[in-house]
Amino acid sequence: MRILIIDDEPELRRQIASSLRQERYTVETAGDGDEALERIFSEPYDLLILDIMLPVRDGFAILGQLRDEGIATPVLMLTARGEVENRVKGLDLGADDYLHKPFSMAELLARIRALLRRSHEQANPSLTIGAICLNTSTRQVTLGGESVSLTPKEFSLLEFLLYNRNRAISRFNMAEHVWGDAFDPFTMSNNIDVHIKNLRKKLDDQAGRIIVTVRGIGYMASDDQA
Amino acid sequence: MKIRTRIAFWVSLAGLASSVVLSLLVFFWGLETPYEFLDQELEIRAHAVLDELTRQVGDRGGIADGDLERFSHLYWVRIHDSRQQLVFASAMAKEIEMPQRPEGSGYLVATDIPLNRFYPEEDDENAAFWNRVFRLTVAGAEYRVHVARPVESLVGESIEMATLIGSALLVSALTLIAVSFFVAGRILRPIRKINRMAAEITENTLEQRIPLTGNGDEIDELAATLNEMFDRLQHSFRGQKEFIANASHELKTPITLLRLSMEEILQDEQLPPPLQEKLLAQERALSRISQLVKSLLDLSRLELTGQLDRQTFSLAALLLSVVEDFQPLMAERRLTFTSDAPAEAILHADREKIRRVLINLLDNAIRYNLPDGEIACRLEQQAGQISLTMRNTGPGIGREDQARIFEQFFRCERSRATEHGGAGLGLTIVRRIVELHGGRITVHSEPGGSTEVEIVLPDHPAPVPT
Repeated sequence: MRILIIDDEPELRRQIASSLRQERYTVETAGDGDEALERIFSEPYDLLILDIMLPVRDGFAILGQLRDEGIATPVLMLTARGEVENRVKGLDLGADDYLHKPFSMAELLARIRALLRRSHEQANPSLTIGAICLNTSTRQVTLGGESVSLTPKEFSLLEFLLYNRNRAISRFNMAEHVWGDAFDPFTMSNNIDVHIKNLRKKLDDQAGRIIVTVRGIGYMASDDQA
Repeated sequence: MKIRTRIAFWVSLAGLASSVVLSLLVFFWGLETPYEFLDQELEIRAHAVLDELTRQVGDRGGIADGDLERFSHLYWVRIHDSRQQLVFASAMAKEIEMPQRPEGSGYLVATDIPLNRFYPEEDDENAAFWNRVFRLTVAGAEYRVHVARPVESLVGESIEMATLIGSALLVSALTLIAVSFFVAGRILRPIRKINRMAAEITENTLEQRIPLTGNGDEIDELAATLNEMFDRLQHSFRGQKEFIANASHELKTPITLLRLSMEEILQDEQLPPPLQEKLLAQERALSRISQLVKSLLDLSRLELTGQLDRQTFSLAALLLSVVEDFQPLMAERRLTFTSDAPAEAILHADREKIRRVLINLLDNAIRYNLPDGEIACRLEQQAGQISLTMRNTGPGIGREDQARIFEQFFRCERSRATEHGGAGLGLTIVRRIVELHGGRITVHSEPGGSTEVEIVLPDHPAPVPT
């Protein structure tokens, strides 16, 4: 899952980014409103973490603009404690949740998980398909109750496929969400087949009934295996 | 010839020429003056002796040699009357013969009589005589008076004077050259400074300006003019960069919308296969455009702001994590990766940007490699710098292409570009990031052999925690 952090405080940006990376999210950052909008309008993100207090173009302006353009990416606002008005204003403008500063990393991570689930209409923290179960909170994958060890990228790939179950996802799209914009998605989309092969092996899906190959397009996590 | 040498040369030459003219004037004046004094002295003496003579003739009707001798002591005097009769000859004139010339200017007669015969305090050089002949009239009677006096030879004196003036000229010439060279250097120093500053201002440091001294001289005017030129340059460069940034930005939204709808259409399983084929080809082309625009935007972001978000991290660890991401791809292509990183290589730099550098380099090393090839990475930490070398078994880069690989949109062998993908901006981005960190990047490649990319980053000191 690909997350953009918008905050003008480099140290906070760095800390959040490194915690999220440990949780195997793909993280990008923006230090000001202009850069943030530029990225939001052109890159597919799964979640935005938006600080309201930004110089020049504040969080409300960013929020207003992206909702006006019809971009529905979930937004988690960061506000200073006690600013009830700001919170209300943000939620009215289309923010999905808010968090006071200072906050604990555990709470931030929990809210991110909840928002991602909500945006993909998942009530359960576990994404289950067949015998495979991916727990978004513990970041664990089990196959028939047995724990499976996945590399960070394999985990991210599976998570992305499961959140978008029953949708054919192109290799290019997967590459963008799993590796972010530092990597060339062309190179990485070649990488995807290798990862899928490894995933299928680890998940005992040799026949490709869970992760289905969609000819010409890419892959799909399919519910309707035989 | 350098301006400094030229100024020194011409100033010295002009100074020397005027000194020579002045010295010659002094020299000749110095030669003439003693004779003018002698002329006057002889004229006074001639009158005095003749006056005494006529007085004696008038008083006593005869000449008392003794008295006249007193008047003509140390002079050579002969007086003739109008009938060419010798009226008087001084003691010296009785012994020594002097050639007589017509009256007029004085003349010098050399003798072999030692000078100290007349002036005991002088040495024994040969005396010369300065002669003058006057035609004087006293109480109606006309006389010719020939007067001379021994003088020391002025040849020695003039040689002495010439040597003195010559050495003075030499000293002044040397002083002139030294002073004018020094002064020219002083005058030209601001120009050298301007030159150095102008050389330092490159495409990436256009915001720098030459400092003005504010004294309004020509050099200040030059600096001000240059600064105005840099203003215009910077403005046009900025305009160009902003245009690329804006154009890319404006392109991204429609491309994204197009891609989303394309993906949506492709979800339809009922699509007739020929249509699906065409749509897939379109999607690939669109993805390529999208990637190109994204890289352009990244590059112009780097060009415009160039801000670094420095933190301290281990380059070796970062390299390891990037390699991990490429591992499956390398395994698929049966590439062998070896890494030689003896040190942690702690760096204080923009981690995300350096990560981008490693990703782009490794991407290239994989993309342009032979099947079953190798990639070797070496990290070295030396005093003040960290160098990273990435070598692959290549097929190598042609000589003419090597100079151009950092250019935007340049790809070796255009035909292979479609096969390998990429926008041709990867190395341009890498170089820009390395330059932002004050480092440098070089490529060594043998056509048909291996390709080696080397990056050297200065060891930027971490800030002291306060």
